[in-house]
Amino acid sequence: MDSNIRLMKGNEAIAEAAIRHGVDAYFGYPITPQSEIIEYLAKEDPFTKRNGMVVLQAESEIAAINMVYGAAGCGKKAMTSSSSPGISLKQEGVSYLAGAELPCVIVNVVRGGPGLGTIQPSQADYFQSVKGGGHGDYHMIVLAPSTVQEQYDFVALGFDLAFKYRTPLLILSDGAIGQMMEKVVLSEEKPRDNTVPDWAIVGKTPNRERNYITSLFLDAEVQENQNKRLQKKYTEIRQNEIRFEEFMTHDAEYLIVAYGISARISQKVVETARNQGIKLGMLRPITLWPFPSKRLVELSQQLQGILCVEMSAGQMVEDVKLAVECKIPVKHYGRMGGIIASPTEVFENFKTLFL
Amino acid sequence: MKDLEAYKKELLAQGAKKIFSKTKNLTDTAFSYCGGCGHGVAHRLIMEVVEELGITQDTIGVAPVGCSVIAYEFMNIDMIQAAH
Repeated sequence: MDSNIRLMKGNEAIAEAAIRHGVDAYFGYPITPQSEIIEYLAKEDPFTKRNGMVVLQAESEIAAINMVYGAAGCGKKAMTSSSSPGISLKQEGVSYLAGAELPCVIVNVVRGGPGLGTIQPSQADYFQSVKGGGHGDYHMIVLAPSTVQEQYDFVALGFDLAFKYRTPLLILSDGAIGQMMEKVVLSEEKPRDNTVPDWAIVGKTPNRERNYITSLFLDAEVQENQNKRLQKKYTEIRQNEIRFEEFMTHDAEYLIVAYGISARISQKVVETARNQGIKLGMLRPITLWPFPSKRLVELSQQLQGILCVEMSAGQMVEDVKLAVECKIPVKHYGRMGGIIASPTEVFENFKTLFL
Repeated sequence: MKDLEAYKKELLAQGAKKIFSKTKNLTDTAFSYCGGCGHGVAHRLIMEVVEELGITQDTIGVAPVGCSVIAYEFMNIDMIQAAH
């Protein structure tokens, strides 16, 4: 048996990925349905038993994100995770990380809301994730895993992108992927890298100017220039980092757009439709920001309609409508409150809406 | 106004000894604090101590919220701004 293949929960995969990728620090606070991340890390105890990675349970979600801010300022690979209500608490810190251009990975294993909501899976944090969440003009790169393997892989990808662009990055998971168990192919364990970027604050030495990390620019013109710098970076990310996957789109007349666990269900819907001779395909955005708008425009030329399947009242559907400029019918189907729609249910609703 | 550099040379020529100078841990930026405010003195004292202890390269400053949020304009050490 290959020891690099394991049956793991989605949350455990994120934790193991953090250790194997050489992440320097994890700061978190328990909340269902993502507590296995901190539980797994605490049990593994990488600080004393593996590669020296720091694992700390903070006194609150707010403390955890600010610890990430401090560690990221020191040039370290730092991450935190939570679920919806806890992620809301972190938003001030996320805005500061974006403003100060600090790289980090944040994981949201989404549960139903608003408020304390439910502990069941949901995708209702889409707006918060891609439209801002915190204050000010900023974006995070948002990766949406739909398998336990992607939960694992996106930790490494996330840190690579976060450091490449000096930006906080969000892995937008959900309670279903976090809790379900699947086969995961693990990568080789990397030692932690002690080198830090030249902008990091590590203590000034006489041979260089001081480094300082700030998101404060009191002079309006200086602040506007900083905003322009950020926007330029976001344009660059839009040009280079859009990721998506297509399923049976080559001759599709109808298209489902779905991410995360909804994409898994929708794949089954596409198979069912195809068996009945209906030319249905699927586009699964992997980056929710930047959004694969351009590809949707290309595909829309051959389409008669698009169905967005999301576990929310309809959030991503707005970005799909914006992408295709409402030139073709775009509809939404989704369940809320932590209920996952069945493939049959989605298929029946697709037929009612379009056929 | 007297040419300070020339005056300094004149004094040194007369046998004066340099017994105090601004710490290297302060930048040359003029403090922006109001007259009577103690922030500037506090900054200077802390930066002098950091230099005296020889811990500059082990020190990271955290700029707080309020007038001294721009402490990194004055403190010549690695610094990070804290959240509001």
